[in-house]
Amino acid sequence: MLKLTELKTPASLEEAYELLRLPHHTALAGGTLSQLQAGEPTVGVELTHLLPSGITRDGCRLRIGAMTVLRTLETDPALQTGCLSILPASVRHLQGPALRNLITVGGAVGARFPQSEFLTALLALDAQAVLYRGGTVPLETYLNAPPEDIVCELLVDREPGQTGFCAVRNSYVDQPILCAAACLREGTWRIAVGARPFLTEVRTCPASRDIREIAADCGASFRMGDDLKATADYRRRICPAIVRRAMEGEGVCR
Amino acid sequence: MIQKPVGKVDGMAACLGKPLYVEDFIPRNALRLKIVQSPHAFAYIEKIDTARALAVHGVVCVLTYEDVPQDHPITLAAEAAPEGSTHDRVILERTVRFVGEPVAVIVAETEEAAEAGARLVDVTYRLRTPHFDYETAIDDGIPLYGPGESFVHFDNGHVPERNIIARKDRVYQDVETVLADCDVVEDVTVHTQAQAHIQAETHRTYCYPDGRGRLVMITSCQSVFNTQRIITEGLGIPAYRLRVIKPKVGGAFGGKNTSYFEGLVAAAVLKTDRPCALVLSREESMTISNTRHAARSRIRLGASRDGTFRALDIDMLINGGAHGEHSFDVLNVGGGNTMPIYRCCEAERFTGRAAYTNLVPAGAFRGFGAPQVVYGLEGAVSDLAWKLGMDSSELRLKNIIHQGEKHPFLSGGVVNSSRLEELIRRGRELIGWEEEYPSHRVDDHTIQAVGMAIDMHGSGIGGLDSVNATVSLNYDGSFTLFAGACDLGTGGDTILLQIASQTLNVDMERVQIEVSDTKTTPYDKGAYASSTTYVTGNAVKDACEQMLRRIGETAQKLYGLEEPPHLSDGELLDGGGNRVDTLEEFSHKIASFSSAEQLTCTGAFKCPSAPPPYVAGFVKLRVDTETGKVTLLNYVAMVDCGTVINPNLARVQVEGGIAQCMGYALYEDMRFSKTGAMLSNDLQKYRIPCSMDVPPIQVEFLESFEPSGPYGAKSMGEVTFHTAAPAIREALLHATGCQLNTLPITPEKVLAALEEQKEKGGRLPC
Repeated sequence: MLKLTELKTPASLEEAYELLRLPHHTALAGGTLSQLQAGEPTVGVELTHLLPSGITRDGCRLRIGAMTVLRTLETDPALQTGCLSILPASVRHLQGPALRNLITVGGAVGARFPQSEFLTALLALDAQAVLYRGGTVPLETYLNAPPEDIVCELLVDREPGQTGFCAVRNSYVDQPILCAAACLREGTWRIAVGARPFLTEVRTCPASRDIREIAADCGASFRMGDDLKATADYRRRICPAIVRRAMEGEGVCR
Repeated sequence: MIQKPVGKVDGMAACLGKPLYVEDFIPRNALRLKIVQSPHAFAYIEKIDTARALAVHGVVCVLTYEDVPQDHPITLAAEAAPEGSTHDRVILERTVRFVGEPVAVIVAETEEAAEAGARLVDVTYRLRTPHFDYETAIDDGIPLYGPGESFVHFDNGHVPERNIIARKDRVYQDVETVLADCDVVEDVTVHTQAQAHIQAETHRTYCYPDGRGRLVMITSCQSVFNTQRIITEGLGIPAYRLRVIKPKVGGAFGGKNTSYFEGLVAAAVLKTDRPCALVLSREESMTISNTRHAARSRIRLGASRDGTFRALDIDMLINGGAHGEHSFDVLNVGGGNTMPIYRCCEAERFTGRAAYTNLVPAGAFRGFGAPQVVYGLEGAVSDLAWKLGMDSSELRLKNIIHQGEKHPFLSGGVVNSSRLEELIRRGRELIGWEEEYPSHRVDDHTIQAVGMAIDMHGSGIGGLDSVNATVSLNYDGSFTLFAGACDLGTGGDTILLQIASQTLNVDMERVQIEVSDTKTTPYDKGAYASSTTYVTGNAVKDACEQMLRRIGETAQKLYGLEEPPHLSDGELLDGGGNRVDTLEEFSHKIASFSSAEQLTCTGAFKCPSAPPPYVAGFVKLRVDTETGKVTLLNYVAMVDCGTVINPNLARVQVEGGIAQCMGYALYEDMRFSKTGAMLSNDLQKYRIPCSMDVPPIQVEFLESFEPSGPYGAKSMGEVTFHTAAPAIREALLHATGCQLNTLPITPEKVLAALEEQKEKGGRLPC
């Protein structure tokens, strides 16, 4: 657990931005990341009062404030059915409701956990991140090369297309061994696979062949690794099946 | 009072957060301890330099091997003397034999100072070559213990030069000859993993000097008397100088049946003459204290073509880790609490060995050797039924032992109480066996199946356990029951109160219980081997029966009656049913100037044999043939534990044991690095099942009457564990045709088995 020597409450995002560029300064949103980290004592920089919270409709998009907790996302009535119901599906197994009441969307994105099912679902949905200095960027860009910036909001299309989500885990609240999310829009599939155990990545492929073929080829294109939960070999063997199930609409509540 | 669902006597207090646990007793001025752990799996400490640690503000002293006796190996296994475990420990070692073993202990004013000091202890090690594989450790590894470094009270098969901790052999007739003559022989080898207890409350101990040269210790343990004996022996002080008290414990499961930490805290108090406390983190509890023994069990079950068992040969090799506590007894239980569930074959044999390795030591854990063997034995029965094309429940019904029958490996020799046959028949109905057996396809990648397993265990340890209990009539007409027994969150205190009030024929409110204190309660072996209800319960019943006689005799004299009156519902009644006096008035009188005769009676029980309880477990599950993921749908547990003293507490024990074994079967995967460090050392990496993983568990009791038990009761604590894993194995056999012989059964292992079967040209059963 991270030890904090000081807690700073910046008056503005600009002040927060400058503070976070200093050494040994760490962002505090829900406060759960610090439970897992180790290392030298640092200065905590509070962001909770500076960033938006809640899910709002903005035309054809949803705006999800960075301080929205995962439990809110999980239980939002508008997300219980339909193609966006893969978002609640992607957070439902994370530890327990008590913790999901603390973990923020901004923290989840910023932490970039390889086991994150949430990021896998967002990538398939082609979500965008609104950064303080950097403006609006595709989430994929942010994850691949995270700039020193503050995530303020996420943008998600309200009608992203035909979606699905599938994960394999051992215990119900365990991190996934492998997870896959899929989204079909205008003849193109976006397929994201995470917990490999590497950070989630997305591939696009045209919907011109049988789903099984696409799932097999696409599944084989992701690099897999060994960890305590499973071997790379096992992940490779099950990937086509779970990608296919995501493409078939598993995880969507109608 | 018995057979009633009475709530736990401390249940409401626990819910309301009253100060009941060890940590609640630690005062602010207590010194705090922090253990420095070895990073090496096998090393000799050439030098420990504590100068930098001592310079930290707040650090009072640092304990090392120089502070405790080194020449007299003890065992930390807190079971009754003479302890069968191989003695190979001292309180702080100069040779460390597993990664995580305590090297030094910082004693400081605050936890922060102790942690800071712990980082500054400089140790010079001379490394030795560790050995981690228990299957090759005997004869292949460098011996962990040299001459003089280990000791046994009686020959338990210990051969230190070969890294053999202990051995146990049981032989009945000539098993090889009979096996050779059998129509069919199932030969299956199973590997079961080490398991961590994961009690809600980790290990912690608080100890203080009483100002009169004695130490008072409040610790989370399973036996106050055995802890007292071991620690004083290890520190070279007389037993009367240490008082050990057990307060409320937040779970143990056997993990607190070994006194890993009490010696360190007592040594700190001896050195500083101040109160000292040690509270372990989850990681420390997991990496310093014991696991369940990992094991390889080979079962050869020979039968005739009609399914009659003719020969049973079990070879068990267990991984004792770096120290030998409990290994001998685990081998004992591995054969004694498993094989006698089936009618004695023409020949039977059990061969058990325990090996040293440079890993965290194994010790006591609910089931204590039986779960490992039952996984293999029931596995062999499942495989035999499958091969013969017989319903596996029918194969069991054909071969189980019945009441009145004998078995050479059974404690006491004969079964005096059993409804095992009915457990199987009734359990089948409840799970829907006939409709579901063996399996059917749900969709293109899901198969549903049922499986079952049976088990037995003991009630106490025959020929060894002995217990006293005392009951006193107080001047106000209430009773006090004094028992050294240890309630571990099991509800043992409540059970004893139920037995006492039943025997005394008074309301439970009239009886108070004082427990688990070496100074004020009589000797009790403690809570292990499923004994509180059966062993201590019998002693409590005896004490209360004596009390009734004493009350009668005393009242007869006091009131000048012809015959002793009897106690009924708080009143003394004569032969004609007329009231002589109230119990309260009688108690005032005998305590007063006219009598000066307060009544106190001590009861005893020596356990001649350990009558077995039985469980039949049935599981319904689904397996995903594309990913190997197993989902449990339903579990039925049929239990014969004799008379059920408290149906609510009994039910909770069953549910807990089954859930814990589901973890053993599917989720709990203990892993070590190549250098012997425990990788799965926290609750993120070592997963126990959560409530969403455990299916609805239906529990039913069929009460037999055990003549030697208190009101016919046997035991429950451990027998509830073993069935879930082999039942799941059997259901997966029925679903896939595959034998899953290595625990835990992860999705990866299931998928690998399915693919291997496909490569060999095999097909799914449905």
